[in-house]
Amino acid sequence: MKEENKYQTQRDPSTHLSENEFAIYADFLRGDLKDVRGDLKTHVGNCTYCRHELMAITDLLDQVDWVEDSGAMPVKGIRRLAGIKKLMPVLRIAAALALLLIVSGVIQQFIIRPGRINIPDTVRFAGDFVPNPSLEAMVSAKYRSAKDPLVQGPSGETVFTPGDTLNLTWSPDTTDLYLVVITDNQANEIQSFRPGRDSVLVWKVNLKPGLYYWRFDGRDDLWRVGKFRVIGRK
Amino acid sequence: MNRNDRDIKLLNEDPDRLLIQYQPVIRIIVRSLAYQGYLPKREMADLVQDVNRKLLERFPRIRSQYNGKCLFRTYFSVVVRNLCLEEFRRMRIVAEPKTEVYEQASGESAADNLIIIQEFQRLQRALNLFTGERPALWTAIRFMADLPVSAEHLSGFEMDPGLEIREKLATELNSGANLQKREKMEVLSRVFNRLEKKNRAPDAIRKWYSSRLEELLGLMNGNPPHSAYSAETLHLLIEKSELEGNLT
Repeated sequence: MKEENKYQTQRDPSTHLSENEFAIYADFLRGDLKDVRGDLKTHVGNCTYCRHELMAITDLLDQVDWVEDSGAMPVKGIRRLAGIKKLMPVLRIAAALALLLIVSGVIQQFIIRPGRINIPDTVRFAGDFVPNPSLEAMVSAKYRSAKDPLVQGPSGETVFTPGDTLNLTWSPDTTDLYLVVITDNQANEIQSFRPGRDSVLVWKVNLKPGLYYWRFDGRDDLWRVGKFRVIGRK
Repeated sequence: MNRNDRDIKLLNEDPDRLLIQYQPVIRIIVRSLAYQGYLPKREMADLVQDVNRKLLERFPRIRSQYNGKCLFRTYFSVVVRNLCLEEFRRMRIVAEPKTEVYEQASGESAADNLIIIQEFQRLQRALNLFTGERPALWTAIRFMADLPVSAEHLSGFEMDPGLEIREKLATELNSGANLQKREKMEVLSRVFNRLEKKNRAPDAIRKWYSSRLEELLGLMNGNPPHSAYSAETLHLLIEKSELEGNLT
């Protein structure tokens, strides 16, 4: 790669980065270039659009690296072609082959092999905090019934740290049978309680960070759904 | 001859072959954008063909415009991405929410650690995009998250008052760990004014921090969103990363 010329003409600061400049800056952010021109840094420091573009480009390049490094795609062994007319059918075949390999790669992701570490999808780190659309629709919904036990519990803004206590209170109806269920944001059951004739539930929260929902069921009715978040700090 | 030299040689001598070699990269980029909700998956193959056709037409321009100051692969990827986005605009495709966002990450701790490392690297990259404001933003985030701030974190500001003063300022920040947000902004204002030789009121710092944090979260979450970072989860990421010893 050519060295950056520090004395070359400064770019027009009012325009966004060119394709070359985006590529240079992306290489810089990914550690492939030691430095970039000061005027590029100044522009990126002041331009929200270019910052977002650069983040998207570097994320994309990470994916290219990851797929290439994992060897999911063949690069070698394709015949050399002379012209465009010859190229297109081969490209179609190459495309079909590559697609086949992608599909086989996807299928392999579902095969569990002992000792194999699943390569993480970086976009899912915050997945434990993503709201569940079905449960969200029920959170804090009011039910009009004379038997409503008027459950009080954590609101959506409640944040617990491990060791904190979750409190639920209600006015019990002796003819009803209650069940309290704690689920994660995928609606997977984490814990359930049969409170009997009590009117309060006190539970020490010992969950990994994420968004959780609590559900207060009666014998025939779902009385209340609430949610809370757990973060790791204490 | 390294890969970049080989690519440039092919670009000049045999662009058709270069295009064939780059099929996997083109496909990854198209697939990635398609998975972000830009494109129905069934149209991926058609788009790959369109991109190939346009690239063939554009090779003379690529040859003249690529200035060799970055990796060819990076430049080529930017060109392919722009071609895809051009196609989306032409087809009037509107980004849709990505359904995969609701999938749960596996509970394996090894995978979790890898995710944390990768995401922390993304965070550092996103912070680097703020160039001159990076030290202030990184310091402010750490301070607001009640994470320790060192004299080293306070280097790189407009003014360097020297190590001794920076250590004092770091101590001032660390002693304010349990303050309310309003009081924290007052502390930040004092420290930043010392480091930047400016006179910014706590309210100005609050507005600046709020807008930068919002943008940082936007960068981390992507557009269309593929993550659900909030200030809290960002703090959690930094904390977990430090616990794992990934901090730079």
